[in-house]
Amino acid sequence: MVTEKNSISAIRVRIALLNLFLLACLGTLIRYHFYEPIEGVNLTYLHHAHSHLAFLGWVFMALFVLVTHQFLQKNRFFDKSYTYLFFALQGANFGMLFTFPFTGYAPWSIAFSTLHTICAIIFTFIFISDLKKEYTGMMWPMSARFVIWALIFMLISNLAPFALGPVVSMFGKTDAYYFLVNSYLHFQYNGWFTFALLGLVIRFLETKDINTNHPFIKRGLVLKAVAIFPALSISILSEDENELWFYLALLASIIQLLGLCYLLIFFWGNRSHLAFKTQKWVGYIALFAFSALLLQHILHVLGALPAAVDLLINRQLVVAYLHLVFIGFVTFLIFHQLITLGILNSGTYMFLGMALLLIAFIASELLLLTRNFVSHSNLLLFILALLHLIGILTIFSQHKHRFLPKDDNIPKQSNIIKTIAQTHQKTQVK
Amino acid sequence: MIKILKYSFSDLMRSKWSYIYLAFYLILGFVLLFLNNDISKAIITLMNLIVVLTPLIGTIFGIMYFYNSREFTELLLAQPVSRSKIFFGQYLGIALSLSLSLVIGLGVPFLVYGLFQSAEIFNFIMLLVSGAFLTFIFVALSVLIGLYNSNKIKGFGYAILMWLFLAVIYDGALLIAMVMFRDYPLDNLALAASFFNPIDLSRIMILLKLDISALLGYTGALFQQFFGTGTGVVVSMIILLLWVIFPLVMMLQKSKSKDF
Repeated sequence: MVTEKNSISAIRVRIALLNLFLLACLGTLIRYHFYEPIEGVNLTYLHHAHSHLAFLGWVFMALFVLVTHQFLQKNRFFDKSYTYLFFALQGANFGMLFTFPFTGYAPWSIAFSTLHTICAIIFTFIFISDLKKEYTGMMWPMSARFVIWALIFMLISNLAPFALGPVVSMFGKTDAYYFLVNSYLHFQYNGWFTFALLGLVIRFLETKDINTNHPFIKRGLVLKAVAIFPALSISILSEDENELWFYLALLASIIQLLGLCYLLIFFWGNRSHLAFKTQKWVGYIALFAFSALLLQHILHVLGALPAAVDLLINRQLVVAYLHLVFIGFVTFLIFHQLITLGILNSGTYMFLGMALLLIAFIASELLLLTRNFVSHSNLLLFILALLHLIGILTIFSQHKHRFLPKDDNIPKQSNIIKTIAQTHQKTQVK
Repeated sequence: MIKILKYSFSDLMRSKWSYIYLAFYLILGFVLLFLNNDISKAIITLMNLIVVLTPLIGTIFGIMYFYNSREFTELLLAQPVSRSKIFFGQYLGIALSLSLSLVIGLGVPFLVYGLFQSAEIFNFIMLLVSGAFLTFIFVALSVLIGLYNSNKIKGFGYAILMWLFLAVIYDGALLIAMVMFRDYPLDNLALAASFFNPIDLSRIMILLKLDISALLGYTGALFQQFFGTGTGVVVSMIILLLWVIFPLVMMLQKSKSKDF
């Protein structure tokens, strides 16, 4: 039965990966536009499509797969309601893909994104009620607590777009508007993505019979959950220069960093479970993803310092920062989880795809930071975007193997033996 | 040797990766032609892409395949087949399949777009030739690195560093040196320096053929001045050929003495 669960998750992951590929195509188109403007293309619309597909198409769908795969028992996992929800969500994604690049925020695209939000809310309630049934009368494992918090933060973040309409019509695109946009981003990144992924890693350790009811994990959860609301004050800094916000932002980001350190120390202690023994690179991917997360938290602290406020407005830095979280932490940790769970294979070509993605990611981050000193930087960024694309295509193509029974290497092996036998025969004939 | 070549070639063809690489170039070619609507402009954009991408793909793929097929290589080594045949066969298998993907993947969109009717056909062939050269060179270099380093991570690191050095750092360092020592006559030195970077060299070769002096850059202009356009193309091609042969000879030498 385990493989059956895997095969359903594998199909869903394939759909999520398709979204990732499409969003990478949009990103590449944006990079091409900077290199050589394309006539008749509205860059802002492309940005909207790119970001919607990234948040709702790739990360949400991948987390949907992982969370249901890891937390639901078989009878609930195969429940029809999850299948319907998944396809409704994907329909909304395709709707957004075909409306945002051409119309931007217009009735149809907003309708599709609202559909996605509603499905996400329904998913949250069904999922939480399933978890409640499962853990009635028991102590909730730490991983489930993390995921519940993640879902709550996701709900909070979804309030922001609904508030946008009234706010824009009343005040126009003022500070309040940017505050709402920032709070959406904040609760998605630091709330939903981070908590869900940390919960998934803890869950993974629980399935390996490790006691996660550890003081470090508890402290990590409390500190991170406490800090997330005050940490929002960092987005007010660039608009309101009251000293109080500085202290609040600094305090919150330090608490956040502390909480993360507790968790990372625990993970480091159990690192042998997060990696394969024979394929060391799988473990290195997790290491890279957590380093990116740590770097993001450190940057959060630095960003709260008075000297850095001006940098927050610098667009290139913001783009680099967002992609640091998005690709560096979220995407790589999702891949790590999918590989360790056996939903994606860990073959050589998967390694190739990961390596290409990693090289492209690191190079484009460095280039975004040093862009003003490099000639042809737009061309180079376009080339690197293409490299992301090759990497994602490679990962996408490598994924089908899991539909087969476990020993998918058999044909290859037998061929090697055949070749050797033939070579041997030939030499003997001579 | 043909047998081994056949094996690694068919292994790569079966692995789907060649098709991905092919599909990537197909999409890229069609999209670029669609966006530019002009063959010569698309060729220039493609040139910029190819001189960076093909070396990287060749490097990473070459070293990955080398490490991955090590067990198979060890099995082969136990057979009465000469070492140079084994490694040469594997090398040709990788380089041929990668170049084939490149040539077909870019060739089809341009043929559909009416390449034969345009005057750009030789420029386009030049582009494919230099892409294939770069693939052969960088696969050879990466297999060489693989032979010298048994440690996978070290080998991978060196291979990527090599690409980074030749694709990005070399140009920058050369430019800085030119600015710093501008009071001295450095023309011949710069000319010689361009010989030592296959990426630079192939860029110059294509641009000489395209005859766009504005894009030639410093070393390219020197090249044109020194050799003239026609000879320049021939000379650069010969040096690129040397760039293939030299690592290849080193590779075969090393494979003979390496202790597996």
